[in-house]
Amino acid sequence: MLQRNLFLALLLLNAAVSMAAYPVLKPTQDGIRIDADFSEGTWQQGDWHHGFKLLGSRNHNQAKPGNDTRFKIAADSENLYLAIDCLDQEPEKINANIQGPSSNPWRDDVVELFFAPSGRDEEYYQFVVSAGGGSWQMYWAEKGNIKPDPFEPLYEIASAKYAQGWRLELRIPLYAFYMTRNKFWQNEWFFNMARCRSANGEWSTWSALNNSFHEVANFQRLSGMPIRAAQKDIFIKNASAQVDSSQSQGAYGGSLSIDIEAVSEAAGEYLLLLNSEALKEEIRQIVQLKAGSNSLLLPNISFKKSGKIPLQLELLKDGKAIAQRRYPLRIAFRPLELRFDSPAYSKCFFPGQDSSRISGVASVNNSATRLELELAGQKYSFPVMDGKASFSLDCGAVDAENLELKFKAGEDSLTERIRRLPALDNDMLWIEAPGRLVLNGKKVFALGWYGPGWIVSKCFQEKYPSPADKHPVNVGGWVNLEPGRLIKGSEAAEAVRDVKPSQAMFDKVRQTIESKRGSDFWFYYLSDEPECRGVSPIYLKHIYDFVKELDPYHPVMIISRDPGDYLDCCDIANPHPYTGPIINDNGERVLNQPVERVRRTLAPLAAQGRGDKLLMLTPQAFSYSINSIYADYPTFDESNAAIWSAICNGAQGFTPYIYYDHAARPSLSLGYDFIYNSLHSLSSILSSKQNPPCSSSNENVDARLFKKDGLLLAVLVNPYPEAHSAMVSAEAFKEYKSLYRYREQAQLPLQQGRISVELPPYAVLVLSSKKIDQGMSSMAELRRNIDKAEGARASRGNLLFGRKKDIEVSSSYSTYTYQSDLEQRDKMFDGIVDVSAWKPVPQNELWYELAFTKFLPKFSKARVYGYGLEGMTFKIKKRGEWLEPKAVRKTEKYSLELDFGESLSSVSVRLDFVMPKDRKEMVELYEIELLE
Amino acid sequence: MLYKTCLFVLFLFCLALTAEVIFNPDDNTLWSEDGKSFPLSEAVSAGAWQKTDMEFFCADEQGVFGMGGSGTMKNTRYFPVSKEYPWLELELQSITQYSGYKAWTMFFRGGQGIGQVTHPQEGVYVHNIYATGDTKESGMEYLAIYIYNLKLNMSRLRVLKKPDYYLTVESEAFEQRKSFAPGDSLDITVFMKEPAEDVMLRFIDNYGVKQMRINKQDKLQLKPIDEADCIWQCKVQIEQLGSQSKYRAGQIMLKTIILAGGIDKPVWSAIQFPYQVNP
Repeated sequence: MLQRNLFLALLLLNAAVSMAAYPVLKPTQDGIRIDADFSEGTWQQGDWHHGFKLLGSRNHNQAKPGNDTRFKIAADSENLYLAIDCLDQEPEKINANIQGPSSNPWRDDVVELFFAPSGRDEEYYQFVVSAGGGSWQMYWAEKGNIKPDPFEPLYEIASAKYAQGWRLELRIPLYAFYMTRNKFWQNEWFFNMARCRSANGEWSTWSALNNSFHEVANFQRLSGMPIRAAQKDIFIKNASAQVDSSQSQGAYGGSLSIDIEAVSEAAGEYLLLLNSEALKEEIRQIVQLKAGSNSLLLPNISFKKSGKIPLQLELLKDGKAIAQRRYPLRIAFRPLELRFDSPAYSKCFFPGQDSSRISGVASVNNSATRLELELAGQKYSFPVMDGKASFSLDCGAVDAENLELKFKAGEDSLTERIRRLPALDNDMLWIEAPGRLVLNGKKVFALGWYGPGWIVSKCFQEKYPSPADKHPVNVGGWVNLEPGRLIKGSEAAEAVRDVKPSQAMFDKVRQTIESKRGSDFWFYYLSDEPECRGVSPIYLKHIYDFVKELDPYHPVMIISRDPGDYLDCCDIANPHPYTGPIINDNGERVLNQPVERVRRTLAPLAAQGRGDKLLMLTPQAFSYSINSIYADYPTFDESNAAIWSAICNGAQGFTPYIYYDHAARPSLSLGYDFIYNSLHSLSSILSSKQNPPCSSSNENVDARLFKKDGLLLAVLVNPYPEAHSAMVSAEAFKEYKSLYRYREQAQLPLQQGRISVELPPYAVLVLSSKKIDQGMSSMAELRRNIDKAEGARASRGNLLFGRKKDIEVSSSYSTYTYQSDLEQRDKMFDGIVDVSAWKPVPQNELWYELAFTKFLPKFSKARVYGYGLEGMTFKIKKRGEWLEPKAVRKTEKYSLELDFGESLSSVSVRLDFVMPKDRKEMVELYEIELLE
Repeated sequence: MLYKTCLFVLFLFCLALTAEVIFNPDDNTLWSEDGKSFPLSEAVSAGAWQKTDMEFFCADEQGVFGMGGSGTMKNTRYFPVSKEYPWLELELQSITQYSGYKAWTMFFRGGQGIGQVTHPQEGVYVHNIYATGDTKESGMEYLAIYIYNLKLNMSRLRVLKKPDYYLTVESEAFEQRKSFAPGDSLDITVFMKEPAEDVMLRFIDNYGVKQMRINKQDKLQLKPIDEADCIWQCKVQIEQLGSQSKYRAGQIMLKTIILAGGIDKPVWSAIQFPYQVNP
């Protein structure tokens, strides 16, 4: 033992001496000039780092690079410095043609530098610099899967060819790593340098890597890295231009908005310096930054160009740069912009709407003092005040379907077509201010489901042929216009760029729309989570405009996590802030995202006051059991709070995801029946235009009032997992002494227009001035029914119930997998006997196996729920062989019971099915039960 | 100088005697974390875990200790390595999940790591540090642990000559090309302390912990090759594997399901060579 410990101690000693990460050099007093000449004292210290290797996947013969690379790295409290020497045996073959920032350096010989200041491989920076001084850089997050910023810091480069190769010298300020906050900053960084030699495609790397230069976890480490000063922990997040006037030929006036985040140590006064080819002159402005988010608005800016142009932003203190970056500025000038109030939506009068008056506001972004307007030969003139001109004209006498309006302000003119749409025989939908959906002339509150037919079992479908047979549903179908579905590969090829779609895409959109003409459906579905794949809002706007031109009767919907960015390319913003519940092994329930995210998502959209946009919500009505063994379903209370919080924040409809799975738990199945019955019963008042103002003393409590035909409805929601109390005040309350609790047996007193409430976690209070819930089941009844159904689900006597973690499932090959193995495990033993758990599309054989990893069930009966069970055999595994025990079979339409007459046990069970002759009649499995 | 060195050696000797990581407790074990307490140090060292955001939870009555917490955690510590002791073994009894992105990984510098992203699962993880031949053969090397929004509840974390349950994957392709592809054969052998009634193997993509099909099957059936039924084996020639054309080294995991074999958890390992359809 003593010998072993002495040996260990010696090993530890050895480690103390030799195992440190690579320390960086300290710059010497003579400073470092960035000139690709390494004569400074700093570069005379220490040894060169060398020992580059070929990338593993390109090196099957254990060869070494043909050309050596060596480098030194130094750092002080403000900068990193690199001296890089790329030795080359054929210097005449060095390509050094590309110059300048954000170029395409890979056409030349390059080195690639990778830094992870947080010391973790989750996020890192890449700088690519060419022999000619060209550069490109990127910040990668989520292990290189996303690029959350158009990363462009400012840093200094000098490169030079010489007789033995080429040299590169860099100075990278610490504030160039602006995507990493100081709290994550470490003294030890992941670092790597790689080199690509263009002459022979030789890729070498300092750290040993296999397939890619992005294998950050395998990088070497640098120690002694300085921590950026807290006073420089500033993130210049973005900049945007608003152009509202034309100043002289080719120049525009407007404003700049800049968002900056600062930590408390960085709060204070700065000189903001802005430079760009787009700006008429350099802008210098004193700004005050507070801790947290800062939104700066710089008025009276002159732009000399339009388009997408980089803006250089610098914050200086005492003449010294504290933060710098470039940001791509989009500058678009529209001398004349129109917003119509009548018609308010899609520039169309819909059947039944008063089409006798056209009105709106023109933004006149030039020096004109009057807005001239012409309709059917009749001329009108309106004054321009502060750049705005309100216009209103009677067009009742103009008997035409298309009203062509010519607007003119000074030299700028615009023609707009207002359409009077004829009535159709099929469904017509439009949006009326303030964001209300209209179906064939009648306001509706949209109640729908995502995927109403997807994976619905035959058994469930027999009970409820459609969702509307289960609870009130009114949303008709959607027509899919997702670019990636219309033309495979088009998203990556064109939709991620700020360009007009190809003619082929327009043709496909047109073809799809024409094929649906005359059909009853509600919406066009333009994109699903476009932000996740970087689909351009500009690209989608082109398609949106094209769709509206071809078919204005059906609103265009986008389902997105980031709906604000896509509001101009859809009529319906339908976000899906899923909560992703999980249950830990200790029983603790965790939400990946809080329920209150609903209000954080919808409230900013509602605040834009876009009466021509409809807000909806796609709440989670499923379990992520598709990919997680820990996944759970949202509860009734979480779902109820999400839905009513959405209503408080402007939602006018729901399409929960996804219909088949909501039926897998009584709390959701019965819960959605209850909620949808409530919403249906209240739809008239919920879609009314009257929302009397109210205020809540607690900002965590949502409150909204609705009024129609003398009825007042108040909705109060606590979307948080902890209790909240609030005092809600409203002028409209003063008419009443108390309010009735909807679908509950209670009244709440009002005092001087105020109501005081204590709201438990996720509580929803729907209050009405009259009793309006006669004949409807109560909330107490719902809770009793949920408890009863949950109890029944858990007490079926199935030895496998709830043991999804202890059972492995296997199945025959299916050409399409509807439900993953984890989802099968979640649903096959959950006490729900009519929801699909396995729905194969078989090829040559059809079988299903269970393997019990932690227990050995002893059973005398088996019950299998599903479809196509005729001829199914049940086998157990004994000593490696499958045996079929004798059984008395009892067959029903959706179940098969096998009574073995004796106690059996086995580590595995196998079901073999008869292959269906008609592929339309597939086998389905809903539940497998083993009974004592 | 000699005097100072001797003092330092003595200090390290005392440290080794008292440290919560136990070194060479038996012939089969190079070191083992017992989880009884977690001394921390500011710098990366051999005598203690590093003081970072990572939380440590001392062993409970069942000897289950934890590492991790809510947020992004990393820890690095130097350990002795030896080619004689190639197996890193950890047993995850359970995993506590917190909000946000979830992942864990462990690796010795120079070698591939083992870990899972998004949906980690319990089990015994065995990882041959020398499978790719990049880790140094002896001396000290640092073990890096990254944990994102998880608490790993472990009953074992140790480096061994031979674990009780482990598996090996061999292929000529690994030797020749340091990668594998369709057409290559894999020889997979599972070694167990106790005989089992059945042994199966699944291929799992560690990114999302998704099941992969191999040659259209969702599992491989192994057969015993010894009289005691303690060594099970299968050989498979790959025709199709998973749905991607490429998998990184360490991305393809093997989940061994052992029925009635003295272990009630799956035994996990990772193939430490990349897979590519068109290499």
